[in-house]
Amino acid sequence: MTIKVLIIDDDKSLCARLEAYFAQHDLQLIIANSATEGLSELTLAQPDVLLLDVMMPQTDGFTLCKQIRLTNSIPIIMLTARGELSDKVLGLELGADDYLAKPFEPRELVARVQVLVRRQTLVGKVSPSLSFGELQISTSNHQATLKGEDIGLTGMEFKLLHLLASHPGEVFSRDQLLNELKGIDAEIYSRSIDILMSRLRQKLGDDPKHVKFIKTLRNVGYTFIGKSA
Amino acid sequence: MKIPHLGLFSRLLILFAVTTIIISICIALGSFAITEQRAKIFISERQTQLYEMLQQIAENPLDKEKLKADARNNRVSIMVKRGTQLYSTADNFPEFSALTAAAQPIGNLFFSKVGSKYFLYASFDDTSVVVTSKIANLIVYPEWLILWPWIVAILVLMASYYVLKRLLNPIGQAIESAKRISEGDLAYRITVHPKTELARLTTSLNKMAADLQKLFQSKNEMLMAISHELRTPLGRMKVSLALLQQNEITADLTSDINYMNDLIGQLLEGERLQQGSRVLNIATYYLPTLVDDVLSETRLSERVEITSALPEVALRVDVGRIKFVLRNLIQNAIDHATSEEKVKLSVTITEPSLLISVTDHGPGIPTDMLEKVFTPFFHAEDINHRSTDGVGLALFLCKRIAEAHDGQLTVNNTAPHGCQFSFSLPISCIAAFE
Ligand SMILES: Nc1ncnc2c1ncn2[C@@H]1O[C@H](COP(=O)(O)OP(=O)(O)O)[C@@H](O)[C@H]1O
Ligand SMILES: [Mg+2]
Repeated sequence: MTIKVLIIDDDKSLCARLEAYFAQHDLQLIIANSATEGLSELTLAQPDVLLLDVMMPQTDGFTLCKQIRLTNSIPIIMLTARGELSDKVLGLELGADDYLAKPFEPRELVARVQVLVRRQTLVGKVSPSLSFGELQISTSNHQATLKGEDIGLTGMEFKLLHLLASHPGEVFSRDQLLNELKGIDAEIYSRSIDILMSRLRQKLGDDPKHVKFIKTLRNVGYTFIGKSA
Repeated sequence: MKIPHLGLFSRLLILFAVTTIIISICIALGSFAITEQRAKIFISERQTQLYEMLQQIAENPLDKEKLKADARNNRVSIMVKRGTQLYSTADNFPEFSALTAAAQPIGNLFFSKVGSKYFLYASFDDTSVVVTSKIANLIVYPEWLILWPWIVAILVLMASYYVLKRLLNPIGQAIESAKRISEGDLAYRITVHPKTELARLTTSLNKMAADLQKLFQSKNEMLMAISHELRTPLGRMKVSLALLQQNEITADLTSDINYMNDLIGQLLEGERLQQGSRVLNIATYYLPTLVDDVLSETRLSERVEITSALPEVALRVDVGRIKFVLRNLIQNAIDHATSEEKVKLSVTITEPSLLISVTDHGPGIPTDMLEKVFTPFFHAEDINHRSTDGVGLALFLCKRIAEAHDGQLTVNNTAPHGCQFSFSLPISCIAAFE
């Protein structure tokens, strides 16, 4: 069965050439040159992977990505126009699975598509998990395992760990964490972050003298220092 | 106080004149003011002389001209009552009965206060002589009023302070606005405008900020558009090239396309960085992770040695751009290496800065070219002997990035060979550094 890839991009010439290239790699490319066209193709053609251009005249790719994610779990690769030497990957926050800066190597794009499709067929309709050596964080069943064993996180603890671990190195102040967690529990208050954090650390087996996962920066906040593997 | 159509100069002049006059009057009054008590003591000490003076007037026949002259010379008003006959040098005397009703004896004299005025009188046979002094009336007060000149002086000072502050407030606002604009806060606007010519200053500052904001915005949009338009055909070319049979020619073309893409990106980045710190996307990031992120990129990690433990601090910097600097310094060091010896990376906090240095063991840079490596498109090597295929903008951008963070990037040769790039950031880049 050939893999069906839908591209939403206003550059017709690029799309046509990509179609030819994809065909060489047993991929079928369905082309949509506008957001509306793309949305209808998405339901009509039932593609396996979606390629989404960020810079489009009417609706930009980020907005479209957010909109599609509300109802659809199809793997999305954002094609960004890298404007700045910025690390911000807005697309991933909005639910995209991967991104590639334009101009990209077509070989690279095909490889990424194949990775996403393989992952999809392996784990079913499941979003990928984060992996840091001994620590595995599975987004789908809200579970974290340490050396293969479930460490039994509560919903709050999981949310906290997931938030930190999906932004390694980024420092979150207590207020920022509070804001993020308010969505789940409006009752949460400043002190309870500390309590939550110490319980989470205990479950992660983090020794204050030799921190492996969550580092406290006094008067600044918390950051995740686990190395992804 | 609303004074329409008066310039700032006139307003200040009026303010200063009025304040000065009132304050000097108050000081004069304040320093001469005495209480009724003190006035009575003063009189009783001189009562015999005063009594004699009044007696003289009473005993002599009434000479109106002489009386007037006396009154004028002594700066007093005099009233003489002889039987039913009444003569006074001024018309501000009360009824004589009112005077006697309030009279308090001081020796042979009588001291009397009617209204807020003070009178002194003595009676002889059929004649009574009353004197009062304008000056005395000005400086004699009941006990509880004695401090009023000082209180008024303080009130006037406070009032003029307030008025002055209001008059000069726009200047303060203008300074604040200029400061905020220069710090990159182009959305800052002055909200209150004065009614003096300073309004021109505040409104022009606002207009300037708005214009600058528009200018930078349109410049950024322009740069984004150029970048997008130039890269679109490059993207298409890459796909077309990929469709061809891969050989040396397609490899060369791909490398050229990549070169052009880098050139576009770095040229535009250079343009953007001309705007200084306002283009930075500041975030808080853990320093060891930042270094780790750069080193874990392909090819870099196994050729770099970290010489001292990384400070476990969080930085408030433009993470993407700081990574760019690190990546390029390390990449350059590796590219220019002549042996297998590892590139040395050290990060230390030496107040007042955070110092990141990258040391290599390559050929170094000719001394006369040390500063030139930071100029755009500079290559120390002859074009045919390049060890890298870089654009020649990386170090230029690194320096700009360092400067946008209020930091520095310098280079010097190390003995016996190789060179060291020192990238310093102000200590204030460290979040919550004590
Ligand atoms: N570590 C180094 N050792 C010797 N020369 C260097 C080193 N780093 C940079 N240079 C010189 O500075 C020039 C400019 O460097 P750079 O701005 O990175 O541009 P590029 O690497 O694209 O040529 C290089 O061409 C090289 O001549
Ligand atoms: Mg270079």
